[in-house]
Amino acid sequence: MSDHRRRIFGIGVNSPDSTPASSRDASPAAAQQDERPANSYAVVPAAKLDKLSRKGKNRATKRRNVWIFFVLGGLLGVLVAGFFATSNGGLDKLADMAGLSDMNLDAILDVLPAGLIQEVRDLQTPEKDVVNYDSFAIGLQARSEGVSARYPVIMIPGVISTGLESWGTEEQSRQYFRKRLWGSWSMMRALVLDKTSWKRHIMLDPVTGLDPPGVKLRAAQGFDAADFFITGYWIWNKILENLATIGYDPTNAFTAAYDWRLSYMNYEKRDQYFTRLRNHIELGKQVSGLKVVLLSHSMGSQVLYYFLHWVEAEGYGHGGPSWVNDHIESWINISGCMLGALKDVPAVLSGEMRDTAQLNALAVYGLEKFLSRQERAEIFRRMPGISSMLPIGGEAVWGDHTSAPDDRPGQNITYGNFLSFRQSGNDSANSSTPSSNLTMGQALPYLFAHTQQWYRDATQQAYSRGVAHTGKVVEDNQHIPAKWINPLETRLPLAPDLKIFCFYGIGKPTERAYFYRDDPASSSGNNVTTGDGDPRVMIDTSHSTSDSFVDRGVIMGEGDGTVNLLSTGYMCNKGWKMKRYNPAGIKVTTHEMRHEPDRFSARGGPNTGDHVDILGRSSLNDLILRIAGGQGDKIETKVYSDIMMYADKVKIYDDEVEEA
Amino acid sequence: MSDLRRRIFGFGVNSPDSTPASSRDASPAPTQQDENTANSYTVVPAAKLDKLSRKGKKQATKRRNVWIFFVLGGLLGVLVAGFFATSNGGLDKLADMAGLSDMNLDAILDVLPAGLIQEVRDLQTPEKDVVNYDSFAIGLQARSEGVSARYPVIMIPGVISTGLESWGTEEQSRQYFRKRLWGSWSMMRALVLDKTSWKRHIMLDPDTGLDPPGIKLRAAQGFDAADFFITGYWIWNKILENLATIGYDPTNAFTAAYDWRLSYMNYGKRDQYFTRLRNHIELGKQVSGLKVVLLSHSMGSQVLYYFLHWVEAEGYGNGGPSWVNDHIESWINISGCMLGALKDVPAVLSGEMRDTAQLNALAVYGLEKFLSRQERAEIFRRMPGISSMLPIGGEAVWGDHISAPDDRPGQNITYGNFLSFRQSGNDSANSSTPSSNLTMGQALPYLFAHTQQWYRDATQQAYSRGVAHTRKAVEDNQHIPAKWINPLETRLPLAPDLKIYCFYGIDKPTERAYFYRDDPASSSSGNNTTAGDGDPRVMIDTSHSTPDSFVDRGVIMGEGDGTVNLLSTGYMCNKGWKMKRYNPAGIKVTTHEMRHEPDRFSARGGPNTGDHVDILGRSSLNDLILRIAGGQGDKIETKVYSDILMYADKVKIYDDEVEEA
Repeated sequence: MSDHRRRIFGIGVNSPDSTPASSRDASPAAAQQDERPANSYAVVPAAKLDKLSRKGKNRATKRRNVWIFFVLGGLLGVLVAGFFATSNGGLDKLADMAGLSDMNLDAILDVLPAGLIQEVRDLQTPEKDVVNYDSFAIGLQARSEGVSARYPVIMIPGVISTGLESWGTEEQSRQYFRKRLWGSWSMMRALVLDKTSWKRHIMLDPVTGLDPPGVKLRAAQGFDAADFFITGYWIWNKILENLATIGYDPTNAFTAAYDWRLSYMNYEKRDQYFTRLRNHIELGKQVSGLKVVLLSHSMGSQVLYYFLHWVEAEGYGHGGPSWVNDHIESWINISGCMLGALKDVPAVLSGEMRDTAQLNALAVYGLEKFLSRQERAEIFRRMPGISSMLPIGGEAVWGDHTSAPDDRPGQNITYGNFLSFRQSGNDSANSSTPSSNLTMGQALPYLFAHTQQWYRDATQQAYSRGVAHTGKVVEDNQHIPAKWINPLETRLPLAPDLKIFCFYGIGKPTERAYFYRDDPASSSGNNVTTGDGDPRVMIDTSHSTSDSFVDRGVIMGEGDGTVNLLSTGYMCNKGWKMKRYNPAGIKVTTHEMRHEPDRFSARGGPNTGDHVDILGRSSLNDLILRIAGGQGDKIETKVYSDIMMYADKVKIYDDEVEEA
Repeated sequence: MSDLRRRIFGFGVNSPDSTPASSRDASPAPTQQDENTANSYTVVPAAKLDKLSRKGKKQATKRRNVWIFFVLGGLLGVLVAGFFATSNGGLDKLADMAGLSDMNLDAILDVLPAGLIQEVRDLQTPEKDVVNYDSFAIGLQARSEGVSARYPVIMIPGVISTGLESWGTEEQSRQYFRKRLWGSWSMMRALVLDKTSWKRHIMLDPDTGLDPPGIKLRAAQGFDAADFFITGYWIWNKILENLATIGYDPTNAFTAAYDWRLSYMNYGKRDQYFTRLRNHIELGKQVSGLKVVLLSHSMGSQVLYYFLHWVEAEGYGNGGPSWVNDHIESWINISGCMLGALKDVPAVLSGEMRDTAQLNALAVYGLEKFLSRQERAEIFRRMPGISSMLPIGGEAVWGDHISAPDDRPGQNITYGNFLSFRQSGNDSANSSTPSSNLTMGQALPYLFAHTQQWYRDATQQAYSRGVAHTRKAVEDNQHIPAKWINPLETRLPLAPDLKIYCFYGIDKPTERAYFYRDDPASSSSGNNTTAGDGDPRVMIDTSHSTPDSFVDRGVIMGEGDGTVNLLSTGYMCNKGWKMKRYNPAGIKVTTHEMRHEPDRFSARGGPNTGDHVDILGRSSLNDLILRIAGGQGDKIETKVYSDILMYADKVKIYDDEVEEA
C-alpha cells in the first residue's frame, strides 16, 4: 500500500522521508555508509523504527481501496480516449503512454501516479522545468523576424478539451463546487470514487437537453479552460506561449470556451455564448481599432461556422449583413471537422470507436466492466453537442455501395459501405442487423431507428446533414438555424475581406468504416422494443486483414488520426471554391501538414499532424503567429494529399445555371 | 535539510517513504515495535540504510540553502502581512497562525509546510473536506426564504487580493509564464529562491509607472483571480459559494480583477480596465434585462468610485450623464476605504506599519535581514496603485495639533498629531526629523519631501487628496481625473435610482497615528545633502508603549476594522453623502455597521468577525449581499453602532451655507 501511495503521491520518490535519515544520524552504524556489504545489518534506535512502523499501520485501513486505484486508474485513460473526435487522436496516445494498449498492469499503476507526481513536482521544483523542448521557440524566432502582435486573437477550443466546472449547490454537488468534473484530476477522482454521481453530473437531461434538475455544470473560463486538459497534457498552451512571445496577453487574447455538451442552440439559450462571443469580438475591435483573428480547433470550427450565421441573422445576432466583414480579419480553421467526424457514428450507436475496438482483450474486459458499451453510448447520446459531429453530406460525400470518393485504387472493399454487417447465422429474426451493408445515407436512419425517441428528436431537430444543390436552396437555408452547422446547405457570409486559413494534418491512418455484428449481450431476445436505445450491435473486432487495412473491425482511411481528410479538406479545397457556398469569393488558403511524428516524443514532436497534437506543431504555430501579426497574405496554399482528386469525385457540383 | 524538505514538501509527514518500510520488513527487529525503549537499538540491513544515507547526501549539496528556507519561509508571512490596507487585517492573522508574532522558530518552519500539506492533501482526499463550517449555509437559508438570483453581480476586489500572472517571455520570465507572481505558492517560491528576480518583476518602472522593459505582469482573470489568496486562505470564495446557492454562475456573476499596482489612469491606458468593466456591465444588462449590482471591497471601492466618474465623462467613458442611473442597480461598498488608509503613510515613508512594528525583536531582525525597511518602502512606492490609498481630507478629517474628530474623552495624546517625532538628541543637524509633530496636513508634504522625485510626481499628479468646500468647486472637479478618487472633491453621479450600501466592521483596534524617530541605520552615514533621495531616514519608534496598549510599540491605536479607520469607512456613508454637494441626486445610502465579535477558536474570526478582510466570510454580510442581489435590498435598514456620527460632526467639512441661506 505505501508503495502504491508513494507512486500516487509522488513525493517519496524524490525526497526520502527524513525520519529514517535522522535515525541514521543517531545510529552508530551511520559511519558504515562507505562499505556496503549487501546483507549486513545496521543498528538503529528501535523507537524510531517503531514510529515508522506505526505510521505504516495507519494506512492499512485504506488498503481495500487499492484495487480500485489499480484497475480503474488505467481505465480512466481509456475512457478519456473514448471521448473522441477532437481529443481522441491525442488522448489515444495518452492511453498508449499509460501502457493501456499493452495492458501491462504495472504500467497502469503508473498512469495516475505519473500525472500526480508531475503535478506535485510542479509544486516543489524550480519552475524552470516548464520550459520544454520548444516552448517559446517559435515565438522567439518569429519575433526575431519582426512579427509582433497586431490583431486581437480569440480562440475557440474543440469538443472535450474545455474543462467543465460544477456550480451546483445541492447536497450531492457541493463537494465538487467550482471543481472541474471534466478535464482535471477532480474528474478522475469523481469518476473512480463515485461513478454514478459523476455520470449524473455530466449527462444532460434527455428531454430538456440541459443540466438535470439540481445539477449545474458550466464551462471553465479564461485561458485555463483549455490550456491543459489535465496537468501535463497541453492543448492550447503551446500556442499561448508563442502568442505571448510576440506580445499577446489577456488584453488582446481570449479563450471563448463553451459547454460542448449542449446542442448549439442551447449555447445561446442557456449561456448566451454567441452573444458573449460577439461582444468580445466587438470589444476587441473597439479597443484595438483592428478586426479580430479567430482561431478554432476541430468542433470549434463548426461552432464558429454556426456563429458566423447566427451573428448576422435577423432575430438572432442582429449583426446585419456586413458584421462579419466589419469585425473579423481572419479565421484560422485548425483540424476543423467541417463535414463531421465518422467516429461519431459508432460512438453514439454502440459506445465504440477505433480506440475501444483496437484495445486488447484484457483492456476491453476491464473497460466493459467499469464503463460498458451501453453506458458509453448513453453518455455520448446525452451530450447533444457531440452529435453535431455526425457526418454531413450523406452518400454524395461518403460514397455508395459501389464506390466512395476516397477509395484508393486496388482497394477491395469500398469505403462507401460505411457499416458492413456480419449476418448472425440463422438467428436473423431476433437480430438488429440489417440484411445488407449500409452507406452513410442509410447508416444515419439506421442509427436513429435504433436510438431513443428523445435522441432522435433532439438530434434531427438541431442539426441538418444534407446537401443543397442549388444557389437558391442555399440562400433559403441561411435563415434556418438547424442548417447553420452545415457548410453544404448554407454559404459563407458575404465578407469579401475575410480570409480563411485551413490547417490540418494528413497522413495518419483514420477510421473510415466499420464491420458490425449483433451484440450477444443484448440480442438475448426482446426484439419488440426496437429503438429502446440499448445498443444491439457492436463492432466486429474479429475482422482484420493482414495489411492493417481492416484492423479489428475498423476500416482505416486517410485523415489526421481522428477526423477524415474529406471532412477537414473538402470545403477548404473544393466546396468553398464554389460560388453558391462562397458567393463573396472569400479567399481560402489551405496548408496541409504531413504527419511526421517524432518517435521519441509522447506527443509527436514538432512535426506531428495529429488532430490534437498539431496544436503544438512548429509550422502551425509559426503560421498562426504570422497571421496574427498581420502577415497572413504571405501564406501560400500547400496541398500534398489527393484531396483534389477525391473532391472531384464527390457528387456535388457548382450550379449549372451559373455556367449556362 | 531533508528534515526541512520533509516539512516543506509535506509528504514525509503523511506517507513515510516506503524504502525504510521495506527495510524494516527485511529486518529481524520489527517485532520489537511493541516495546518502545527510547534508546534501544535494532538491526536493519546496512545496505538499505546506506542507500538512504546516500539519498540524504545528495541533498546535502543544497544544505547551504537551509537557512533561507528556515528563516525566510516564515518571513514570507510577514511580508505578505506587510502588504497592507486590504488584506492586512486578515493576513496579519495568517502571520499569527504561522506563529510569527511569537517568533517560535519551530512554528515558522511549519508555516509553509502547513499550506503545502493542505494543497497536496486537496489532491488526495475526497473533496468533501471542501464543505466547511458554514459553506453554503447562508445561501441555503436565504434560498429557503425565497431569495434567488435576480440582478447580474460584478465583484471588484481590493488591493493585494488579486493574483498577478507573469506573461513575459524574456529569458528571466519564462520560468514564470502564466504563473502567479502574486497570490500563490509560486510567489512564495520565487520570493524565497530568487528575491531579486521577484522584486524586478513585481515593481513597476518609476518613470513610466508600467512594467519595466521585458517584464509583463497582468491581473489573473475570472473568479480564480480573487477567490483565494493562496490555497486555503479565502477572500471571495464564501461569497461565491453563497451566490451560487441562490442561482449565480459564470453567466450572471463576474469578478472584475485589476492590476492594483498601477495608478488608476493606467488601468485604463494599459489594460482598458474601465472599458472592459463598462462592457461587462452593459452586457450583463443586455442579457438579463436588469441593471447590475456591483460589489466592491476595500480599495475596490475607490476604484469603483473612480469608474463611476470615468464612465460618464466626456472623452473617457463617454457614457453620458445617465449611464450610472441606467446601468447600476446597487453598489455594495464593503470595508471601502473611501478616505484612504492611514497605514499607507508609514508603509510608503519607511516600509513599516503596525504589522511590522509590533513584531518582536527576533522577528524584526529576521525580516530586516531578508527584506529591509528600505526595500519594503521601495516596493510600496513602486506600486503607484498603493499610494491611491494615502489619506484623503487632510486636517479637516484627520485632526490638527489640538484635536481630532475621533479623539476619545480623556485621551492624553490627540490623534491629530499623526506623526510624532522623538528628537534624536544633539545630532539634530544630521536628522531627518522635523522639529515638531506633524498633522495629516503636514505629514503628506513631509512624505513627499523625503521620497524620490518620480514618486512625488507620479503620486501628486495621479491623485488629489484635498477637500472641496463649495458646490461649485465640486462640479468643476468632476472633469479632472485626479479628483475622481476623492469623494470630498467630487460628487456621486446623478443617479437617483442607484442604491448604495455601506457595510464595514467596527470595534477592532486600528492604527491611527505613529511615533517616529531617526533611523540609526541611515542617519549614521551622514550625507544630509541628499535629502529626498528616497531612502527612509526615519523609522517607527517601537520603544514607545503605554501600559493600556493605547500606544503599542510606537503605534497609536484607534477605531476601525483592524486595517482601515472608522473615519475612512464611515464618514462618507454617514455624513459626506448626506450633503447636497457630494450627493446632489439624493442617492439613498444605507449603512450597516458590523461589530467585530471574533470566534476565538476560528483562525479567520468565524461568522461574526468585523475584520477588514475576514468580513467577506461574515454570515450577516453574506446574507445582506444575497438579499440585495436577489432584489430585496429595500428591506435593509441603517444600523450604526459606533460613534461615527459624533466624529463626523466634528469633521470640519460643512454643507454649503449658500444652500441654507
